[in-house]
Amino acid sequence: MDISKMDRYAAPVHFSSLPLLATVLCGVGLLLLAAFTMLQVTSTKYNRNVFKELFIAATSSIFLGFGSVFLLLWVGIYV
Amino acid sequence: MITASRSSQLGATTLLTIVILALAWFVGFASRLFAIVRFESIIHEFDPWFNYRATHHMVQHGFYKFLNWFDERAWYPLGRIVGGTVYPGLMVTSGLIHWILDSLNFHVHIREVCVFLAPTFSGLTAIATYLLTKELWSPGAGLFAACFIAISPGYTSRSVAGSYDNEGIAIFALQFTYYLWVKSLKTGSIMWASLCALSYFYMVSAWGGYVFIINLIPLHALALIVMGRYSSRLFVSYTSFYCLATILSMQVPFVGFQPVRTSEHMPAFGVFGLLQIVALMHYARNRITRQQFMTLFVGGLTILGGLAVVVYFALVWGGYVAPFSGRFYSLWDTGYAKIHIPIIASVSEHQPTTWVSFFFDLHITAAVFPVGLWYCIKKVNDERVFIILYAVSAVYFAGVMVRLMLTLTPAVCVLAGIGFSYTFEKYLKDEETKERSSSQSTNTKDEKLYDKAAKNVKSRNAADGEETAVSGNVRTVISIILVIFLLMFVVHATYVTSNAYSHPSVVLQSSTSNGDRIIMDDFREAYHWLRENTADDARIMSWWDYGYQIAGMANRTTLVDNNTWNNSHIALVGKAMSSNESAAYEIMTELDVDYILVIFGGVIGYSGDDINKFLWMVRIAQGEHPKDIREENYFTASGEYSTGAGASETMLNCLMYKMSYYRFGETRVGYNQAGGFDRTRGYVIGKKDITLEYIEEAYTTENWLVRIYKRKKLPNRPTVKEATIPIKGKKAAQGKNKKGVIRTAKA
Repeated sequence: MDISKMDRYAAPVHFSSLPLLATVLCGVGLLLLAAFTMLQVTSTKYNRNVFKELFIAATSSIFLGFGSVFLLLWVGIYV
Repeated sequence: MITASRSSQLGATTLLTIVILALAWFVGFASRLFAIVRFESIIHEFDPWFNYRATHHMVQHGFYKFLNWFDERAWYPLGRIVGGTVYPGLMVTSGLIHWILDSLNFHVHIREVCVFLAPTFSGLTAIATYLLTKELWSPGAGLFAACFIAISPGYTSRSVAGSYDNEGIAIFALQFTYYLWVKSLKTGSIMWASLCALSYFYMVSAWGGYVFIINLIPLHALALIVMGRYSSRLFVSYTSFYCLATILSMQVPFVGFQPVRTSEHMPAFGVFGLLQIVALMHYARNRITRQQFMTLFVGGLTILGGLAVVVYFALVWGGYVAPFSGRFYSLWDTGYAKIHIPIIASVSEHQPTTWVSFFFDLHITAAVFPVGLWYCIKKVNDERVFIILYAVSAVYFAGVMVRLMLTLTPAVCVLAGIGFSYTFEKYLKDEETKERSSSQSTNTKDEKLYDKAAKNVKSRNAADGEETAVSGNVRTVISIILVIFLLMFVVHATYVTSNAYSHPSVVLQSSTSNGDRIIMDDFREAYHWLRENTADDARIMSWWDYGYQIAGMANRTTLVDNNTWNNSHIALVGKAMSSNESAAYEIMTELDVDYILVIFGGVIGYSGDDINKFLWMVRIAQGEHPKDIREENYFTASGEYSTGAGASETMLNCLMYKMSYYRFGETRVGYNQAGGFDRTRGYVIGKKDITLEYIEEAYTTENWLVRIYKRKKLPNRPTVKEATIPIKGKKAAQGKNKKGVIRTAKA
């Protein structure tokens, strides 16, 4: 277990790109969340489409999920 | 076309509301974090330490062990029944959040949950205030009120991060209960009234101030009856709420049977009975003749009213219903506590409020709040009567006691929100009223059925336009001035939160002449010494302020703590502190004390030390032992407390003086000060050469802030000095008996 013989850990995502990634991913996720909220508030029983709702919700949650991971890494909580 | 624009407007409005409330939550959370950033994530002050210790116990041992917990490490010989004397809502809330996070595999220490609970709930309070104001006035006013209460210093003062106290969640429960009550009154549905009762149950479990709710809602119902605004909605909502709320509130062990046995809960019961009678009156009015009605009800009502009053006083006289408790009675008769209950009078939070506090805690909202109140009176309806009563009673109570500024803050934020919203609505919307009236007229062309209504609307609009004949320039200027006031409020709120209300009180901070920060961590130093260097079952005697901190940080048994439920025990400790060493030693032996802890601020100029609190020790001790302790013995010739040159003999020999100033006469606090100069009091102390017979010094912290003394275990037989023994014995025979004579001492 000699540390000097181990390779230095290189993260798959470069350290300096974390702020940009976190902001962009979280931003897009929040925008999609806003679109989903508006859709829920303004749609009626007759003109709603389950596939549209599911699509927007799924993409929003994917973006927000990755965005929050990068946000935690950027702040210093190395999850 | 209209539906499309309306739905997109609804979408945009909802989105904007959600964004504004989320930002208000974030701002409220962030502005309470000053102490965490500057120092560390620690529980502040005194009371929160007990709450944290209780929560820790609950997380370790489970909820039922917590509910049945008998704490033998507090109030030493007596112990404390924690399960029955604590409001469990706070601990249950933190425990629940901790359990949810644990089950999501997001492991957080319970201390972090406790520290950050109050800022989280401040965001929820903002949302509850938005809902309440939306019911009372309009969504725009709701947003104003939510933003006000998120940062208002009156609320921030009791809910900074680290201040883990009941008020942090109680204000959220208060606002939510009021919102549900207003909603249930407006709809008259049992569902909303039941939800209101459930929220009231949460409030009862959270804070002793629930008495305010259970008196304000009956007062509201009574006011509506008297104003002639009785309706079946009021009947349904109040009766459902009262029955469920009373039963639910009795489930909290601390409250127990109080709702049926104390005077503070009697008004709710009285209004409940009155409401049944009024409902019967309204039911019967249309069904019997007028004369029968008059005799039956006017006569019956007076007889029943007289009977109720007589029965109530008989129950109080017989002891079945307790009269007003001291804490609540002192709100009406403000001079009562100083004479009869010195413990209540000695707490600095219970002093009357100065006008400075009103401005400091409320700023511009205190000035705009009468405007909102005026408009609520002018456009009164059932629910606005409620907010008027809440505001007026809250203003009275906030004037009596500084601590109750906290209950005034939500009312002020709601009414200031209404004031700002109404003003902006009048002054910013002038093109839109013309548009709206033109769209109304296009409506009338489409649907002839609503002709009459449209004509009324148009004439009212025209009349409105003539009333508000304020020119456009004036409106713009006033709107800009109001926006500047709002900006100044935000700046003031942040400044106050940062400078005045973010002190952990466990560490002291000061700055040197070149701006460096000095942290004085004496409290934790002393508690850590106690934790490491004393036996696990050692008993610590100190004044009751520090009891919770000693129990929380040093984990040792204390004699008295901040719960102050036993006045005689506190008076015993006060008597020990104010008597001379031998009398104090007797008391300490009776109470089985091992260590004594005093706070002394004379070296650094800390003004919250025990010598400054000494007058209360004397007063409380005198209240229980008037023959042994007399306040006049501690005065100087001119009738004031002093430990300096003119101090009386009793003062110079009492235990508190000796413990505070032991070895202080040899120290110098500065290069050009005389020895024994007390920086807090500002003079040289009276007696510098102090010797201790019955106690010995155990530990003094770095800045002499905390001094710990150990009680000496003296031998069983008291050593009597030889010179005091009167001995008459035979003289030794000269030279004959070399061995000497055994002398016997006269008994």
